[in-house]
Amino acid sequence: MRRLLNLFILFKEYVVLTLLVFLSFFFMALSRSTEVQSLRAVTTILVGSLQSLYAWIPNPFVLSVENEELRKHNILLLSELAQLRRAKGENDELRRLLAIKPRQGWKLLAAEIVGKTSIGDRNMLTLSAGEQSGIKKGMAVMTDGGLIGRVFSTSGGFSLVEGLFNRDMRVAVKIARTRVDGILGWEGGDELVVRNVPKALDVKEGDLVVTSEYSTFFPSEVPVGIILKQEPEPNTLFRKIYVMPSAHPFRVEHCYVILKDEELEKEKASLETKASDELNKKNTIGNLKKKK
Amino acid sequence: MSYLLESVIALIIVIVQVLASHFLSFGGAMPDLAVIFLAFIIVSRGQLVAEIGGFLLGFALDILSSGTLGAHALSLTLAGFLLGYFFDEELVKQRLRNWPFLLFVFAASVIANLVYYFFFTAGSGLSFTAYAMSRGGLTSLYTVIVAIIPMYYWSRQTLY
Repeated sequence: MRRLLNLFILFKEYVVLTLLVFLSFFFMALSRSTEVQSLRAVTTILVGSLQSLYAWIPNPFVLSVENEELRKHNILLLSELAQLRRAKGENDELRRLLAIKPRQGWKLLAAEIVGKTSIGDRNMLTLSAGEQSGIKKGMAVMTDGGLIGRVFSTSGGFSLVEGLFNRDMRVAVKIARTRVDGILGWEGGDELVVRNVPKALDVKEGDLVVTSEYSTFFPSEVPVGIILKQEPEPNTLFRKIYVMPSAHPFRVEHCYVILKDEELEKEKASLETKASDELNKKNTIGNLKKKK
Repeated sequence: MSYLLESVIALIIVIVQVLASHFLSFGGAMPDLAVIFLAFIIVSRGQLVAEIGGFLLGFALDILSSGTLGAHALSLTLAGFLLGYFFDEELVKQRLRNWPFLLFVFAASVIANLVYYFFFTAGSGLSFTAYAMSRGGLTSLYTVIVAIIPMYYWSRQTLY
């Protein structure tokens, strides 16, 4: 025992290092567990409360940039509004003729961004609204420009938002003009990247990228960005598309959380159940036929 | 400085780093205040305290910054352990007051960034070398520049 103790004292630095490395890996493995998520909710309250103390301090640079962007958007929106009103009338009429249920509107909740954290390239925003306002984990967050992220964790009065410029973020998107689908992510740098888009499909610089209906987190048709450039991926049939985001999470002071529409969710779930039931039926019939 | 006082300062540093990160960031990089404090521990306390201190600093940063739990803890532990080999009890004050302190800060920042970005980029499609070089390099440089402030402060103190 004494020899063991002497050995430990002799190599204490290595023993402690092994223990700490082991602990670090253990915590990494636990990172997505429920217990850690609960801890995150507590830290969200703590950090959010502290950040809300100095959130009133205006950042003149951010405000002037935001105002300038808002003015531009306003002019563009006014011209688009007239076109959209006409298009909506036509759309409603066609939907009625085709007997398709009208699309549900988004339920938006305005929130103030009280904190912006950027540690080790994990960009997070703290919102001044939380579970008490109906915000839940996974909800989409946007500005008037477009999508900026999704709710990562919530507490009573605050929410932590994971920005688009995050290595874990993946968004199912499509090109608004041609309905070409892709997966949007971030690979470092100032642009977002859409991968696995076949070279043969019609994609042009300047095309608008919006969220796809295949996304489990985001409602469809939320603007994400504009295509800046594209380049073929060597030795594949695909190309890589660079997207300039419509809204930059670090250049805004206010945002909107898209509250999930319960009815729409139920409808989606029932459609998915119906589809899986039909698939099961087909499989069963197929198996019976094979047996026969 | 007592361990208790150092712990309080470490906690304040981590909180400031999390809360003021947006105001301190420049060109996508921000000074790593935790690394500066770790360099101080390495120079003044030695290897064992540095690796434990690095772990606690990193763990606090992980909890408050909502990052991957354990990633900062591991990177700062390894930085403390590796640089702890260069601890010399007789040169503590001289090192804190002069450029060797900046060297410790730079080395700690580079090691911590390399380890952190290794886990950060793993399985994400991000290029480790490109990412570590661009972001890590800028962060290390920025951290060293900020570390001049405490070094200047210590250089104005009486030596004995």
